[in-house]
Parts: sequence; C-alpha cells; structure tokens
Amino acid sequence: MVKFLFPTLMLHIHADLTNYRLMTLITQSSGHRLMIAMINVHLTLKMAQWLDEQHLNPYMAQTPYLPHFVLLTCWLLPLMIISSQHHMATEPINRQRTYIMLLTSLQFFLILAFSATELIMFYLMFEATLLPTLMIITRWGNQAERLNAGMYFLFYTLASSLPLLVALLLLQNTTGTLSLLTLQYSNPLNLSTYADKLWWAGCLIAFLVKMPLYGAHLWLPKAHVEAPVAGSMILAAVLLKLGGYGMMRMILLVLEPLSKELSYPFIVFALWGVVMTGLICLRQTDLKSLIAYSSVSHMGLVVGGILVQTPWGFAGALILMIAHGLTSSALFCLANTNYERIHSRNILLARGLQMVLPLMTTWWFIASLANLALPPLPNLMGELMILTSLINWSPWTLALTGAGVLITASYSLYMFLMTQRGPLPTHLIALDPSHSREHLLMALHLLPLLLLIFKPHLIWGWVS
Amino acid sequence: MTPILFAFSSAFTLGLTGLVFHRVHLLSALLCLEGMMLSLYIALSTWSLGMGSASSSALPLFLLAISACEAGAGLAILVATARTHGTDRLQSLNLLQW
Amino acid sequence: MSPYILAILLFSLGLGTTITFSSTHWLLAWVGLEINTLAMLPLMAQNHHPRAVEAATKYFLIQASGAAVLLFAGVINAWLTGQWDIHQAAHPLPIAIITLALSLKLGLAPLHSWLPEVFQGLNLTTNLILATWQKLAPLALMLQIQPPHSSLLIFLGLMSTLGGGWGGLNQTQLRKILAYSSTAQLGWMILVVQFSPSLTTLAILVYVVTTSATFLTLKLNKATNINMLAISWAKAPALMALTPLVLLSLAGLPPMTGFMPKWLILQELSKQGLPATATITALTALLSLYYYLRLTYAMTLTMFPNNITSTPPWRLPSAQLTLPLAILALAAISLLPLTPAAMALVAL
Repeated sequence: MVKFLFPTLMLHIHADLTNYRLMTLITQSSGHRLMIAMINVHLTLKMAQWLDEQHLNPYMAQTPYLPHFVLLTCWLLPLMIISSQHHMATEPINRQRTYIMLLTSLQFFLILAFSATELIMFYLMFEATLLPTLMIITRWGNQAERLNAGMYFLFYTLASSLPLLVALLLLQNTTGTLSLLTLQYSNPLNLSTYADKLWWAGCLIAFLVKMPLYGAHLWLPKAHVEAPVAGSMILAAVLLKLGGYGMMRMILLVLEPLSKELSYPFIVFALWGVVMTGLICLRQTDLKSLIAYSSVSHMGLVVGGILVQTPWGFAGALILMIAHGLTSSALFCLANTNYERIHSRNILLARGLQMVLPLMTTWWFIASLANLALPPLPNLMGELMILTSLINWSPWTLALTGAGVLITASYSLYMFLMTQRGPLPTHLIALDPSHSREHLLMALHLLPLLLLIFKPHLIWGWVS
Repeated sequence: MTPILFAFSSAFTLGLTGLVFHRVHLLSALLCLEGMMLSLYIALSTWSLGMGSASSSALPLFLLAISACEAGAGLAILVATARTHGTDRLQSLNLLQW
Repeated sequence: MSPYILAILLFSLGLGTTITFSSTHWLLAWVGLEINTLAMLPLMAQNHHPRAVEAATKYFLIQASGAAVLLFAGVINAWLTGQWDIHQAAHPLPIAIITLALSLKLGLAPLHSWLPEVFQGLNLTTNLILATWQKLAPLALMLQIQPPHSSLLIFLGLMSTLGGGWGGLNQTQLRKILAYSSTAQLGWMILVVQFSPSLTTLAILVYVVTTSATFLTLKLNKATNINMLAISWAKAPALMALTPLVLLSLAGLPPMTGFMPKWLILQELSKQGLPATATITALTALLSLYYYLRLTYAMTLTMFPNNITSTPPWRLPSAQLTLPLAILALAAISLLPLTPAAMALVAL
C-alpha cells in the first residue's frame, strides 16, 4: 500500500516546489498520478488471481471487491487535475498549488479509507475526506450558493455519521475488536432488542446518506451544481462509492441477521428514488443538476442491490458503482466543457453543439449510452444483475426497476438530443474548438469502460 | 441539625439569596458577599471550637484575611464602576450585551 | 501597566492555581481560587474602559460568590463528616453544592450566561488567560471530588454542549463565540469526569492548545468580530489558510487533533452504557460546528472585498511574536496520529 501512499504524499512536495507555469504543474502532477494509477492497475491485475476467494488476500489484506475502488480513486484523480486546467488558469500560482494539494490529500485519504483494515480507521478517513471536498466546493465553486451547498454537504454527512461512530464504539465493546481481519471470526451478535435495531440503523444510515438514498439526497444536487468540475467528478465518481463500499463492509461483517427484515423500508425508498429522481431528471434544465440526479437514481439501484444481500446483488452493485464512477465523471467533464464555452449550465442555451464540436458529440454519445446502460457496456451488466437479484427478492420490484430503466434511457437520450442535435442557436457561432486536452480526458474516462467489456471478470468480485 | 449549623447555614443562604435576587446596587451585592463570608467565619470558628483542635483554630483568621482582601477588591471595583458608569446601579452594567 | 506589577499579578495567578492544585484541604483550595480571582481582576480592568470595568465587576461577583458557595459546602461537609479532606468528601449534599459552585466558576451551561459578557469586555490576551488558565483550578477540584453515578454531571455536560452550541449560533462577535465554544468544550469534559478523570485531563490539554491557537490568531489579526476576520486574509494569507483547520479542530472534525478527546470521550460513554447520551452529545457538537464553519467561510473560503490600500500589509513584517502561534496551530491540527500514545497515557 505504501507503493501508492508514498508517491501520493510526495505529490504535496511536488506541488509546493514546482516553480513553473500552470501547464507544467498540471502536466507533471497528473503524469505523476497516472504513474501511481499504473502501479495500481498492475497490482490489481496481479490480485485478480485471488478474486475467486472470499478471504482477505495477502495484498493490503483486502477482500475481492476492494482493489477496484483504490484503482478508481487513483485513476480519476489525475483526470480531475487535467479537467481543472481551464478553471485554474486565471488563478495565482499559490492558489493553484493549494488546489492541487487539496486534491492530493483527498486522494491520500481516499486510498486510506478504501484500504483500512480497522473500522475506526475507515470511519476516520471517511470523515477526513469531507474537509478537502468542502474546501474544493466552497472555495473554488462559482456561485454564492456554494456556501449553502457546503453546509448541506457537511451537515448531512456529519449528522448521519456521528451515530455511526457511536455504533462502532458499541460494536467494539461487544466484540472487543474492530479489525476487519478478526471481526469476521467473532461470534455472531445476538441482536434482538429495540436498541439493537437502532444500532443497526446507526451503522447503515451514514452510508445511506452518503450514497445517497432517496429522501436524504438533497445535499447531493446542491453540492454537484455548485462545485467546480473536479469537485463534481470526485463526488460522483468516488465519494458516493465510499458509501456503497462502507455498506458492503458493514452488512457482510456484522449486520447479517437483522438486515433481512430491517432493510425492507430502505429498499423501497431506494427503488422509489430510482423512479422519482429519474422523473426529476426528465424535467431538468440544469445540465449538472441532471447528471447529479441521474447519479442519485443509479445509486438507488446500487443500494437495492446491496441490501438484498445476494452474491449477484453485491456483484451487480460493485460493477454498477465502478461503471457509474467512470460514466458520471465523464458526463461531468462534458458538462464542464460546455460550461467553459457557454458560461452557463443551462441546457436551453447550449443546443445543437454537433455543428461546432463534432468530435465532442462522439464522446457525448458514448457517455450518454453508457449512462442509459447500452448492452455490451459494464453498466448494463451491473443493472441486469441487480435487477435479477431484486426480482428474486420480490417480483413486484420489476415495476419500479423497469420504469426506472425506461426513464433512465429517456433522460439520457433527452440530454444527448437537447445538447447535441438540432439547429445551432445563433449566439453559439464563435466557440472555442475542442482541445486535445479534453479529448485525452474523455478517452481516459471512456476507454477503461470500453475495455472492461472484454474482461468483466475483473470487477465482478463474487460471481466467478 | 445543630442550632449553630442551622444558624450559619441560614445566614449564608440569606446572603446568597440577597445577592441573587436583590440586584439593585453593587454595594448591596458586596454587603451580601460580606455577610456570606462572616457566616462562614462563624461556622469555621465554632467548628474549631467544637473540635477543640489547636491546629484548626487559625483557619478563621485565614478566612478573614482573604475575605478582607476580597472585600477590598470589591470596593476598588465599586470605585472603578462609579467612575466609568457614574453610578453603582447594577442595571447600568449593560454595555456588554453587544 | 508597569512590568513589575504585571509580573506580580501573573505570578499570583500561577500561585493561586498551584495552591488549588496541591491542596487537600477545602479552605486552602478556596484560598487558591480567591488569590486567582484577585490577581485576575487588575489584569481585566487594566485599561479604564467602561466595558473592561464592567467585565471585571461581573467576573468578580460570579467568582466571589462561586468561591463562597464552594467554601460553604466545604464547611457543611466538615460539620457533617468531621473532616476537611477534598478527596473524602462523601456526603451527597455538599458534593452537589460543590459541583454547582464549580460549574458556576467554569461557566457550564445553565450557569454560563456571565461568560460571553465577560469575554466581550476584555482584550484578547486576557481572554486567552481566562479561557485556558483560569479553567484549570476549578477543573482540578472537579477532578478530585469525583462524584460517583452523578446524573447531575451528565445533565450539566449535555446542557453545556447544547447551550454552548445554541448560544453561539446567533453571534457575530468572535469573543462571544469563543466563550460559547468554551462552554461547549467544557461540557464534553464534564460528561466524562466521573468515569475517567484522566480523559478529562487529556481533553482540557487539547482544548488549551486549540483555543490558544485560535486566540493567538485573532490577536495577530486584531479581529473581534466576523467582519474584521473577513478582511484579515490581506494581513496574513498563509495563516488564514491554516486557521480553518484550527477552528475545525476545535469543532472536532476527524483529521485534526480536536477529534481525539471527543472520540475517546464517546468511547468511554458507550463503554459505560450510555450510548444515547453519547449520540446526543455528538449531535450537539454539530451546533458548534455550524459557527466554526461560518467563521471559516468568512475568513478563508470567500474573498471578502477589500480596498486596495489595505491589501499589502502582509508584505510588512509583523511586530508580534508568531512562534508560539505556529507551534500551537501545528499541534492543534496534526496530533491526531498520536492518539494511541494518548490512550496509553489515559490508561495509566
């Protein structure tokens, strides 16, 4: 693990000592990070031989579903730096350095969170990611509403995760340990009283809010809309997955017996949320808000998949989280390329862009299709596995998930058609052409997604 | 409860009640504090008399000395308040609410 | 003020607290507290401003009556049990009175309304002494009496975290905000004092470090309300980038030192079978977090408009000594990894 933690720490020093223009800083920093990501890819492929086992593997003491999250983090952080180039170009060098150092510490905390073998350590790092994210949102966002968004972000997360801390401390009192390595061999808990049910809720609600579950999701669209592009990317791609990851850990390790009955309302909420947020997307005029709500809708499926607790459910949730991480991050990048040219997030102002940015339309096309889960893409694989396990849980869920899939397809196409097709409005004649930086960015997002079609074995964890 | 315990307890409580509920003049607050101190003085001296121990017979004097210092500081504050606020009414001590 | 007199006053402050620390006799503890108060008063009223004098008056009345009630409880204890030893105060009535008197002196929640006003009247250096050094003596007595199974302490602790959080929400004055923050922090310490006194010691240590860092920052910027804090980015930009971390450490957000005592306190509470209390306390900390976060917003996360003549002061060397601030701020931010060592110390 030190193999990527130490280089990540070195990035702090690098950002501080580089005395060149922004371009150099960004190129070096992101290049450095991509190298870290490559080490990570190498390790993950090496770990693939342990994927079939249910036990913790010798590398980083991790379960089969873990390396993907670290990999996702390491892969997306350099992309965030590349995408922020335009946003940072007008800032003085010290602020650029601070920005890059914030992203670096975020990467550091996220790697530690995903590879923690101790639940308290995981909790600490889970909380530690809040602070850099808050700063990115509120310091580098654009509108005045960003302050409100930061408040929402911080307080939703903290109010739900402080009970988690108490719940974890209680767990430590009963089992005597919080280490994931020994916790799986401890005696199953006898959970029967009313207080135990509250404890169960305390353990899960932090992650459900982080995911976010429909009903506790109000912070997410605000944060997404107000954050700069890097903030939106990291939120959608990695921070939401922190919730999913934590749920998998907690449910598998300690919450087993109670989850069967108690997860009922949460599954209902999640599936209802799939439909509702999909409908919200359909009438959305704000591009970033649309993508944010689409994230909520996809995460609803993930919550459902995790809470029914079948191997297929878990595997589907895992696949969908990875695929959605890449897809939504790509969509936020695309939205940002629009924003940099048009200076508005409004869909109505940015129509018919195929005429001026034809190559970008290709990327929009692929990203939208990935968002609506077109057949060979891993997104579809994840959704199908979740749907199957949900039908197995109760056939009636088909009504909600079916409607959800349909609506997802509609709003993805709506987004694509509204922004790309049709006549070009007259105010959009003199746009910047798309830069090769942006093409590189999109390629780095979408190529892994496309390549995963050929070897989905890498990310499906349980099903072998 | 012995009569002495009752006597100094009620004296102290009266002093405290005066301090807490009768907030008109700073001087009266200081007098209430003095009253509380004197009741404690009586308590201490009767305690050491009752115990008959020579080592604790100096305690009331310590108490008196320190409470005299305290009364002196209180009077100094009274003077300072009179000079800055022009009165010793406690109601005029309202500058710090904003 | 003449440096000799200042030295005498500061030494008497130290003397009073030390006497209280080392006393086993209630009268001696009271003497220490009184010397402490008497030495503090001239420091407070040193500039003859009406606000300073008013603050000194209020401080005097509260501290004198608190100390008198404390001694009264000691006398009652002596009359009822026949001995003056602090450690062996066994009768429940004097213990309850002493707890209340000490919480009046500390500024715990139902008895805290004097604290913001006194803070508001003083300059930041005196405030720093008041918020840190002056808390030590009463807290040391609180640690020594150790009332067992006291729901009074739980009540005081919960009320303090709640009242400290609630009161600060409506404030724009930094000194009042810090007063409420001190009440909230002391609430955490009081909650755990009957279960693990050494944990309280750790908590007050961390509190002293973080609060000192905050006060020294404000002192460097000469800031007493949010507006003045908002334009301080022009005076010390690097410090202003660091201060949010110090403030959030005071609030107890995880990657910073301030989380350590809160974590250990919550652990102790849940170990003692009080998970509901632990959860409520943790959630009331969010109230305090709100105003720390607002300070952070005003200070660093937004760029307050500033006229062009007031932007260059950061180029000029500051006349104030910044080494203590640097050390304290660093300690306030980055000591969380030392938690295992702190736990070992607590377990001693």
